[in-house]
Amino acid sequence: MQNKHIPVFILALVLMIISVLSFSDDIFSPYVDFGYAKSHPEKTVQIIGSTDKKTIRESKTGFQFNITDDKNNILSVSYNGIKPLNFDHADKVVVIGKFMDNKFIAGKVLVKCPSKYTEKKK
Amino acid sequence: MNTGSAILYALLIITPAMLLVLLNKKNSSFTLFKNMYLLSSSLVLIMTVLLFGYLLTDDFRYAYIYSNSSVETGIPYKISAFWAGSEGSFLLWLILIKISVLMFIKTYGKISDRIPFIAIILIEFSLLVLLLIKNPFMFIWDKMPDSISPGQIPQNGTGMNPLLMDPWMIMHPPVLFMGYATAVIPFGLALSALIRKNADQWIKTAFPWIIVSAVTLGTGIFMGGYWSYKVLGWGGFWGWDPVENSSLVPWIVSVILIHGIIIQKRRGAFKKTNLLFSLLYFVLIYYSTFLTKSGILSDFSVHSFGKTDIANALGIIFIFFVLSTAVIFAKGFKNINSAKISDNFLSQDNSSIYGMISFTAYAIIILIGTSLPIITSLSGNGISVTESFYNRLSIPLGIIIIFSLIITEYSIKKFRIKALLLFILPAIAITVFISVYIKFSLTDSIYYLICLFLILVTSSQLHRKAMLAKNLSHMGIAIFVFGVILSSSIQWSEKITVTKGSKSSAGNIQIKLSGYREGNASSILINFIKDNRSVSAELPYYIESKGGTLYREPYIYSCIAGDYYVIPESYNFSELSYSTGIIQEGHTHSISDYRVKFLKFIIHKMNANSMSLSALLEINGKKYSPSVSFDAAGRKDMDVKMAGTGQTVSLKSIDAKSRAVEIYISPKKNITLPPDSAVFTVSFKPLIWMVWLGTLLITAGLALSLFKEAGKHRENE
Repeated sequence: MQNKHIPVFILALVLMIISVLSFSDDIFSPYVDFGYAKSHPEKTVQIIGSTDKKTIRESKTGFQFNITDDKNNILSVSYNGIKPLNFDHADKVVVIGKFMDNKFIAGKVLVKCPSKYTEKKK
Repeated sequence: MNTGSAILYALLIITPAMLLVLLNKKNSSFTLFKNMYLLSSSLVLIMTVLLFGYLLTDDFRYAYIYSNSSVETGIPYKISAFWAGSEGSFLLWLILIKISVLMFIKTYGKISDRIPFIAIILIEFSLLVLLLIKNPFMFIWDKMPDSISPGQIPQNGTGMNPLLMDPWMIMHPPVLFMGYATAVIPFGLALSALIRKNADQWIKTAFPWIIVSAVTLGTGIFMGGYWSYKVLGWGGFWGWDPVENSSLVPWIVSVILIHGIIIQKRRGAFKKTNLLFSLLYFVLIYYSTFLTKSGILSDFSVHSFGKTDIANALGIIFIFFVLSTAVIFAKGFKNINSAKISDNFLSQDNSSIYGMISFTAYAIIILIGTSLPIITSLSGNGISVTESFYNRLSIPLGIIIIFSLIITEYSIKKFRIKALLLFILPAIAITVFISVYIKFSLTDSIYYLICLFLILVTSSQLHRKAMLAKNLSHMGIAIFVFGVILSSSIQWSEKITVTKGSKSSAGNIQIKLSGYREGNASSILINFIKDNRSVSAELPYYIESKGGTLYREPYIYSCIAGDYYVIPESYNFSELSYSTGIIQEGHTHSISDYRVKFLKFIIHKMNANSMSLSALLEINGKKYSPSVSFDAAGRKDMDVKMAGTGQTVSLKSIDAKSRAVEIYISPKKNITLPPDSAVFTVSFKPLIWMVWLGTLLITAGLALSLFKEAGKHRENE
């Protein structure tokens, strides 16, 4: 394969991918703790926490709830979207988004279901 | 030991023995191998029949049957319970490999090349090892020695996850695994070609299998997407989840491989690339299994799978396949001489190559995005990518891929200017119409324009029989992409609350709430009203017993303009909210017009297997303690009568962590309660059927090319 257009094409493709990646700020979401999320409001991050069912409030556009971590820190989360299936019965959720105005604005909420693959101890 | 396990152990001895026979270079040993292969296939078939038999006869001696089926499970789902867990999936994969390889031996009776079979036997052996760890024939008392004593047979199984109880989920795994299974044949043939330094003959044998694999794997992925849209109720069909991505990447590789082999057949070029991609195809399929079955991504995926006991075995087998194929490729590829490709920028081959390179880049991006959590977690906290990583990169790559398809069309048939205008003018007209009257977005407009142009160009060529397979699948891609962009860009979504007996509007439709129907699978009853026509619908909405989670399903009203997608968010039982309350220890709550104080928990542990829990309550100065007990048979409620009222108090649920209980007091007779209400999210997805039509055409095109290949083979014979 001695076609001289092909390396040029590949180079252009790589440059394009790099430029798309460097111009977007919402493509990576490292796993962080509550403190890190609060101190880095500009960063998209993901956080795992237990949902506090008593704090779930629904509004016209979405819903809010608090999550707590192992050290009983509390983070209030706001999500403008459809409540995920099984949310009410989830033990833990993963929220992906940014911390803004004293709230964590989630762009996505993942529910950790009580797994069907783990045997329940009776 | 039981029959199923005994057969498994026998296979674990026969399979290495087959390897020894293959390594023996005597001529007669190949006939011996074929006979042994037939024997081992029959044994796998017996295992399969046994597992089906145990499922259909509710044989809960087996942990797998207990965990994936129940007496109440319908026959079709008892069958599909076969592949509802890892154990059965591995067995399914194995039996499908056996079937494919037997067909392969039969159709190519003359071949005496041992190398592909050595590779296949090694793959089968790896699956047997996985089956040894995840044995579907394990007795329940061996699996759960703490709770079940030897010989004790549960009355009923836990049943299947209701999400999987859908017609699409019966077919999705076997079709997907058919793609996985058939991939072993091109893998073995490519290894042989590298070792024998002959990269010309193998593609003739491998090509039909690559197409079969691409068709089945693709169909499986498309079915999974449709199931996700129809059942999961999040409104989309593709969430860039690791489970989805990890099977999409090998499928993209198989599609690139098909194009590579077409070019090799025509020009003698791409020999090394095709060998590499055939090897990668299987390795990536194995990687997909590793990602999804090992539980390594459990923190990064919506799919629920705990860290499993086969993670190490899967990892070791994966590394073995990667290293051994890498060594064989590195040694063999220098000896292969490929022809050069012409330097004409706009030739048909070149535009195919640009498309293939872009598609490869796409596969690499998805692979990196999916694997990033694993790579980064090796050095501290894992980083995963968001959906916009995929979406942002898809936009430019998609444009380049569709452009390369357009150039391919042009390079095959040099259209006259007049003909080109005939295609480009309607495409511009429709794009302008959408941009002006509905919604304007620059990238969307570019997509509308090039997709519509490609749809028109390919449809004008559908009469050319020789090109039909290509034109159908390329048209499918254009229709698919057009549907994806349009349905996601112009959709609307609205959240409405409806009280029982009345109607609420969302956009141009109305939802009337009729009530809630209790049953085996309880559901919310609605009437969907559009243009004065009313359709009644039942939306499943209940707490499923297995995981204790809320199960709900959307209602979809399809018409030519698109789909109305109604998701039941929540149903408010006014009786329940009146008569039920969650109380924390030491607190008071109003339930059924009583002030109820929760004093404390009382726990009785009867023996190792059973215990009871009561909540000590104070109501109107009197003390009540409703309780629940748990033993091997399950949960039992012990409600308490309230003296002189005819009402009962029950303990609905317990939250030990926050020390709270959920208490129910049956309401007084003749009390009037406000009506029930429900919250729905209604969305409209315009022309979403184009997405499904696109996938159908892509599959149809691929399947057609298979028939063409098969026809050629018949002519040659």
